[in-house]
Amino acid sequence: MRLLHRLAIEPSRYQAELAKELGVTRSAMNQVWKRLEQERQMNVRSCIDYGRLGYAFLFGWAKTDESSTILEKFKGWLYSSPYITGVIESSMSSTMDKRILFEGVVPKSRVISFREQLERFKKQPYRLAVHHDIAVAMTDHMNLAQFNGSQWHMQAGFRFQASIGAAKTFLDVLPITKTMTLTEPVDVTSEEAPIAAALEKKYHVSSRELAEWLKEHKFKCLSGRTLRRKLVELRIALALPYLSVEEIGLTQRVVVCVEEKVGGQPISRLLNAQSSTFPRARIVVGHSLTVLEISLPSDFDWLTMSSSLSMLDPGTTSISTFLTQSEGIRKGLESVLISERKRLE
Amino acid sequence: MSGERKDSTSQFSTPWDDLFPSDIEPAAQFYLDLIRIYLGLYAGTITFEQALVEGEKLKSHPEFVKYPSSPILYPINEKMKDKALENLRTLNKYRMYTRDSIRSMMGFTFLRENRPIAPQDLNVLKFLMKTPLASLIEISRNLGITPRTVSNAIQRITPFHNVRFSCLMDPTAFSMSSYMLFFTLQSGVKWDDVINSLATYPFTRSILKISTSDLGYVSIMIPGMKNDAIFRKSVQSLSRDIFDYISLHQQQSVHQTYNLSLFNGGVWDLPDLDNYFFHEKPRSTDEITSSVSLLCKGPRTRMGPDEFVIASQLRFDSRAQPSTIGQMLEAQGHDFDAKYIGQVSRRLYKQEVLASMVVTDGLDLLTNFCFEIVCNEEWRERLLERVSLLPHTNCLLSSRGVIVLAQVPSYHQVNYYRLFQSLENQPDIKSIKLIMTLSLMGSRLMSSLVKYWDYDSEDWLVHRAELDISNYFDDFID
Repeated sequence: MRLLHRLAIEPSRYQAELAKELGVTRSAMNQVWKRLEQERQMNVRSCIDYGRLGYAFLFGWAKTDESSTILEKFKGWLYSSPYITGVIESSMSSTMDKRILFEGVVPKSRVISFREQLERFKKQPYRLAVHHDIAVAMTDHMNLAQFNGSQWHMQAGFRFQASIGAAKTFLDVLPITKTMTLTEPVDVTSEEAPIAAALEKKYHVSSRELAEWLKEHKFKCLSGRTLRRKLVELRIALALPYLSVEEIGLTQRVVVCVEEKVGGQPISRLLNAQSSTFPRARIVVGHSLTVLEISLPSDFDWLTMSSSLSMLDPGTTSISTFLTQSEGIRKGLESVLISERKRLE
Repeated sequence: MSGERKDSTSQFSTPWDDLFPSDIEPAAQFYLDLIRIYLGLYAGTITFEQALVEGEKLKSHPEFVKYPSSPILYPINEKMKDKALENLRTLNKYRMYTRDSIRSMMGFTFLRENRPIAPQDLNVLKFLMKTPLASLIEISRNLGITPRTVSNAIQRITPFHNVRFSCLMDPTAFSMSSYMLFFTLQSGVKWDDVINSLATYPFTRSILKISTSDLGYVSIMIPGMKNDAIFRKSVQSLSRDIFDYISLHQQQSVHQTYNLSLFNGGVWDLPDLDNYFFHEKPRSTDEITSSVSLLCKGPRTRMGPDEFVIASQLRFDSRAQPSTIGQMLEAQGHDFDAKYIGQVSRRLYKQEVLASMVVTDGLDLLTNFCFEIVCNEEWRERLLERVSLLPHTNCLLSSRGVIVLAQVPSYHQVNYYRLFQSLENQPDIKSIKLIMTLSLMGSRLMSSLVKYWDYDSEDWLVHRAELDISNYFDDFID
C-alpha cells in the first residue's frame, strides 16, 4: 500500500528512489513492484500530448432513445475505424437511453474528414444524437487515500455534494494540477510517434524494451544511445505519467458526459479540479464537451453522485451519467500507428 | 446564527438548536422544521403527540406535496441522529442555505442504510407480510415462539428495517378517482415553476421529479367521479404550452408483492429473469411471500367522508388501535370515538375498500425504479404476474398500461434494468419510460379533501375552476 500511495501521488518515481524513501532494499522494492504488476496489473502509463506528434485527440458520444440497431451500426463503424482508440457502451442510464462513448487519435490531415463522417450519423437514416469535440486537456488521477488495502471508505453523501457545490464559488482559484494540455496538432506527423506510443503504454519503458518493441512492430530502429536520449526528451516534452492498478475493489465504472453551452466551461473546470475526490478518474476536456470516467467501489451509490453532479448547473450545462460494464475498446496511439503502417505497406 | 425563531416549531427546543440557521426562505425552513422535529423526538424534548401536531401543521405547507414525509416515520436512533447533525454542520460550513440544498440535505439524512436482519425477525416479518393484521397470539402459534418474542421482533423490525403497516385503498369506493400523470416539459418551461403550480393544486398527492431525468410524475386524487372529464380535459390543455410528453393513467387496480424466497443469508439471489419473464406458461407463485391486490370496484354504499378520513388514517398505520387512530384524527380536527373507528375499519376491509399490507425498505433493496409501461391488455396482465418474481414491486394498472415501482438490490440493478429495457422490443409494448429514484417518498394524506363533501347532496361538490388544473398554470398560458 505504501508503494501504491507514493506512486499514485508521483507516478514518475523510479524504484531506486522509492526504495530509499520507504527504507527498503532495492531488491525488496523490485519484488513488491513485480508482485503488484502480476497480481494487480500495476503499471505507470502516460497521457500523451498527441498534438506535438501531429495528431488530434477526438472524443464524444452518441445516444439514442430508440432501437439499438442504429447504435449497433454506429458501433460497427467505430470498431472498423483505424483511428478509434476507445469505445465504451452504456449498461444503464438514469434516462434509459443508450449511449456509446468514443475517442480516437486522428492525424491532423484527416481530422476534417473524420468529423464529417461522424456528422453523417446525425442525418437520415441514422438520426443519432452525436456530439464530438477535439480534446484540449486530459488527465488520469488515482486517489488511494480512502483505500485501506481491502476496502474503500467513500460516501456519496451530503458532504460530497456540498464540497462539489461549494467549490463552484472558488472556481477561478481552484488549482488544477497534473493535467496534460494537448497542443494544437503540428502539420506533419512525427517520427517520434512510435516512441511516444511506447511511453503511453509504459512510462518507465527502458531503451532495451523500446528497441524490442520497435523491432517487433517493424518501426524504424534507432541506436540504444539515441533511444535513451529520446526517451528522456519525450518524457519531459509530451508525457504525463499516471498510475494504473486493477483488482482494488473499483468495480463500478460511471461515465459523466458534460456539454457546456457557455464560454469558460466552469463545470468542466470544477470537475477537473475535484477529480482527485474520486478513487480513479480520467477526464478528457474539449472546447465544449467534457467526459469524466470514474471508477468507484461497488457499494457506492452512483445515482446519488449523478444527482449531485446534475444539480451543479442545470441552466447552461447538460450533464448526463451512465453506468458501464462493457470492456469495449481501450487502445492507444500504438494501434493507430500500426494501422497506418499497414495501410502504407 | 440561531436568532429568534418565528416558525411553528418554536414551541420546543433541542440541544442542537444552534445548528439551525435563521432568516431562511420559507420553502427551505420547511425542511429544517422537519429535521428539528426529528431531533426533538430523539432528545425527548417533544412527545410523539406533540410531534404529530407539529407534523400536521407542516402538511399545509406547499413544500409538503414535493416532500410528503413525516419525522415520526423515521427510525429514532443514534446513527440517524448523528447523520442529521453532521449534515447540518456541513450545511453551515458551506453556508448552503437555499431550498434545494437544504432539501437535498434532508434527503441524504434520512436515506435508509442496510442493516442485517436476524433469522427470527425475518420469519416474523414474512408471516406479517402474508397476514399483516395477525395478532401476536396468531403469529406466535404459527411460528412456535412466544408472544413476547413476537412483540420484541416487531419492535425491532419497525425502526431497524423501517417496517410499516399500511393499506392499499380503492378510492372509487368513495366516488373518487386516482391518477398518475407522467410528463416531460416543452423547451423553455422551467421545472420549478411547473412543480410549484402542481403543488398548489388542491388534489395533488405527490410529485416526483429528480435532477437526473427529464421525466416527472404527479399523483392526483379527484373527488366525485363526474368531475373526471373536467380534470382530464384540463390536463390535455396543458400539452399545448407546458407539457411535451403527457401520459395520464387512471387507477383500475393496485398491487403489491414481496418475493423473499430470493433473500437468503442477507443476500438477494438473482432469478432467471429472461426465462421466466418471457416464458409462455405462467409459473407457480407459491414461493412469493406476499401478494396484495385491490381492484377499483366503484362506489360502495355507506362510504362517505367519515369512512374516507378513517381509511386515510389506516393507510398510515393499519395495526394501530382504534383509540390511537382516534388521537391522530383528533390532531387533524376530526372527532371520532374508538368504537366507531373500529366498526368503520371492519367495514372497510370487509367491503374490500382497503387491503392491509406491510411495507419495508430495510432489506438492502436500495435501487428504486419507476417504470411507466404503455402496453395492451395482454401485456398488462402478463407483466402484473411476472413482476411478482422481483424482490419487491408496487404496480398500478390503468387502461393505458402498467406502472411498476420496483425495489431491487443495487448489485443487480443492471440486470433488472436490462430486463425492462428489453421489453421495448416487444411488439405490443408501445413505450417504456423510467425514473430512477434515490428513495421512495410517501404521498400527502388526502383526508383534507372532505372539505369538498356536500352533506345536502351527499356527494362531492367541487367548483369547476378548482378542478381545472390549467388554472394553476396561469402564469404560463396566454
